[in-house]
Amino acid sequence: MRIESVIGGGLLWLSSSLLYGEGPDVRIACSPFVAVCEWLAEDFSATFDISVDMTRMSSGEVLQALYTDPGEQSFDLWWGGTGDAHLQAAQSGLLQPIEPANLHEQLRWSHYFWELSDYQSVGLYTGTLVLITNRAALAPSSLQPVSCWSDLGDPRYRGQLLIADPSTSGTSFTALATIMHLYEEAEATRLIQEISLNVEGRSTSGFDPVERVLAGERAITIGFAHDVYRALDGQDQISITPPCEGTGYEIAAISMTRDARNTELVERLVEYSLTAAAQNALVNEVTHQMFSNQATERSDVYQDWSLLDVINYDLRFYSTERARQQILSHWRRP
Amino acid sequence: MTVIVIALISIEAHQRRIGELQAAEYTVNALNISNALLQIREKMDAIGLIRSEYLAAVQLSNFKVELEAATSQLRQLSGGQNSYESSAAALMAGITGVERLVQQKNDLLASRSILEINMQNMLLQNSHDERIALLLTEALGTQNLLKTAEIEREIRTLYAQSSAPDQWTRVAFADSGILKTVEDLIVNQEQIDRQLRSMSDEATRTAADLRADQISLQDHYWFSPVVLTFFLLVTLAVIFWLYSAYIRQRALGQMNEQSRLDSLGMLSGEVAHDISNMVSVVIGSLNLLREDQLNSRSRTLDKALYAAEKSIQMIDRLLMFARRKQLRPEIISVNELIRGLEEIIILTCGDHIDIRLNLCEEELFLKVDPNLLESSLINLCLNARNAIDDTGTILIEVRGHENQQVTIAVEDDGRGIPKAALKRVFEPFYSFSANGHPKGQGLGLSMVYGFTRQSGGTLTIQSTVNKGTRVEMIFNAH
Repeated sequence: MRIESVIGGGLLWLSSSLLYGEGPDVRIACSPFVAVCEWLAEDFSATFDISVDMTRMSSGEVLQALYTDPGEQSFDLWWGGTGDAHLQAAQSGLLQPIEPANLHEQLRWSHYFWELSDYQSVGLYTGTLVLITNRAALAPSSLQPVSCWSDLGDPRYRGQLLIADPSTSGTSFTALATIMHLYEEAEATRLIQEISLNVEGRSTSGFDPVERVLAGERAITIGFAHDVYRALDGQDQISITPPCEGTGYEIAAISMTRDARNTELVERLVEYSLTAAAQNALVNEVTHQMFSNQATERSDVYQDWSLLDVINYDLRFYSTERARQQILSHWRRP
Repeated sequence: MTVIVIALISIEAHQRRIGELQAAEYTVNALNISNALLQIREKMDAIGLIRSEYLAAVQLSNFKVELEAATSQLRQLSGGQNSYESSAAALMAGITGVERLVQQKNDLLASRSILEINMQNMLLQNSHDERIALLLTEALGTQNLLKTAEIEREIRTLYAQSSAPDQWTRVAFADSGILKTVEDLIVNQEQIDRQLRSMSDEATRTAADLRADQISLQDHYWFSPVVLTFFLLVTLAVIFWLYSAYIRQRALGQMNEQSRLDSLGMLSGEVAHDISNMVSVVIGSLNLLREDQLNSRSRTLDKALYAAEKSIQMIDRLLMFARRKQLRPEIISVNELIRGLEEIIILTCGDHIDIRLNLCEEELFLKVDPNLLESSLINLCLNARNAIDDTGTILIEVRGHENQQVTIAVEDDGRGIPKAALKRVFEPFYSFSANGHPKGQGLGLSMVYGFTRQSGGTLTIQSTVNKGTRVEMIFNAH
């Protein structure tokens, strides 16, 4: 660690301690799975010599918290989580504009997301949805693994699905938005209702069902390819299929909240998160998303080009409250 | 006045409703247009996938025709002068926007084609690495930024692995340019698609709203309790208005009639009284002359006396009409009085008239002047006789009522009296005859009218041409 960083970090810590007492220097809402959040907390603390309050929350939960608990008690930085939630927060005035100095190093989709959010969120990583079948769990029913979105609504799979509540899980919401995009409204509505009828069990977070399906609790779920590959751990009973109709994707983002206290520190953390160095430390080591910096290595999961046949998913449209309510209204909680 | 205002408002509301219903019919067109927009969007997506510029141009040409038809429909719609005009204008704006986007998409396709050609040239000129050439070709066919990004990342890796990176600098720059252009095209396309989606969604919503209005109008317009109640109230108001107008008119007519007859009666009474006095002097003088020339027969004197006595009778009737006649009321049995008159009436009317009596079963008593009642009845029977051309029937009817009134009616089945004449029959000296030759002096009914009124009763007449006439004297029973 360079001496300037130490001094800078120390000053930062001192100033924030004077201003805010003994509280953490930065409060982070972290939406990827917990290993990433833990890595980040440790890395940020070490790199910037700061105290970090890291809370693991799904995108929907963060959005909910920002709506219901604004002010000083809220978060300063929102790291990761599906982009539609970030866009909705941006539209609702819960974030503030940022312009990291290394924006020009980011891939086009990252930059594009920043434009879409009215310069309040930067695209941090991306990933696509896949259908996941635990063949061993499905074996007693002698059914085939699912290969299309439409299969999920097939009544033969009644009770075999585990999908998180789309009102809190960005993964589930992205899946439903993808179905809405792929099918005519009436058909999409019917399919979403049929899928919700096939679901057995409840979950609030996107990768919790993935882990439970891999464990054999249920046979079928949906998830981001990077989440499932991370958890695969050599299991050969798992089928991972890009949906035959085309798939949806997330652009996960990083944002500074409207009520962020130490904006200078938050800006530095954002910029740091967008560097190839930080991202290369994460990719293929901790996680498998496609990161935003041009110089970041390719994720080994997404070497498979078939996972990149994504639909022209309208991020801005599906982040509107109207679209969100419309989609959620079709979902029947199991 | 209030009723008129309500009626006018209701008419205006009704016309507006009709206007809305007509407008609702146009919503079918709006829905068609919305569907057309959706189809256009689908076709736009299809065009995005067409690699041939020629095919794209053909498709666009077809769209243009469809758009023109849709625009024409919308122009009709907006010409409807109704509340849907703004919706139609919104749809029109949507169509115009789609046209613009189609043009942009066309430009985009052209850019893509040019880019493809440029890329081929560059690949040829630079003896490009085959793997990179394949990746760039893949990028060109890509519709999403995720794939182009990963292609870019892959090309970077390939450059990094190259044995002679310096030699590739220029090519790398060109490749980077190609990728950036491809990505710009994708972003442009996404933006165009978003706008298209937004427009067609808006159009769908507008059409759905219009459709909902139409359904609401069609299904609930006539059956809505509010509308039904409204129309019921309006109908009742109109009926009430018409009825009150009729009643007012009739009352006014009756009042005028009564007032006219009263005025006439007053005038007749004054004149008759004076003439009666003068004629009495004439008669007295004539009688003195006659006594002086006793035994000498003077036909001239006899004629003068006869004429003077007739004049007195006439004046008596006028006085009767004017209710100036001195009455001598007595309590009489109506049935008895009429039975006593029956023979005289039969004789007066002649054999060709059938006289029927329909008397009340119970004995009814009146306190009236019996002589004048007899005289009135004979007068009415004479009128009835005159109304019958050949043979016919005169019915004399007596009825008692629960309200202590007695009706004495004389009814014939003769020619009847036209409505216009019916209003004036009670006037003195007004005589009506269907064949244009009045009979009598026109004082009979006037006398009966005066007598009845002076006796505290009322006189009514009902008549239908070619069916007959019925005159009723209504008195209070004793």
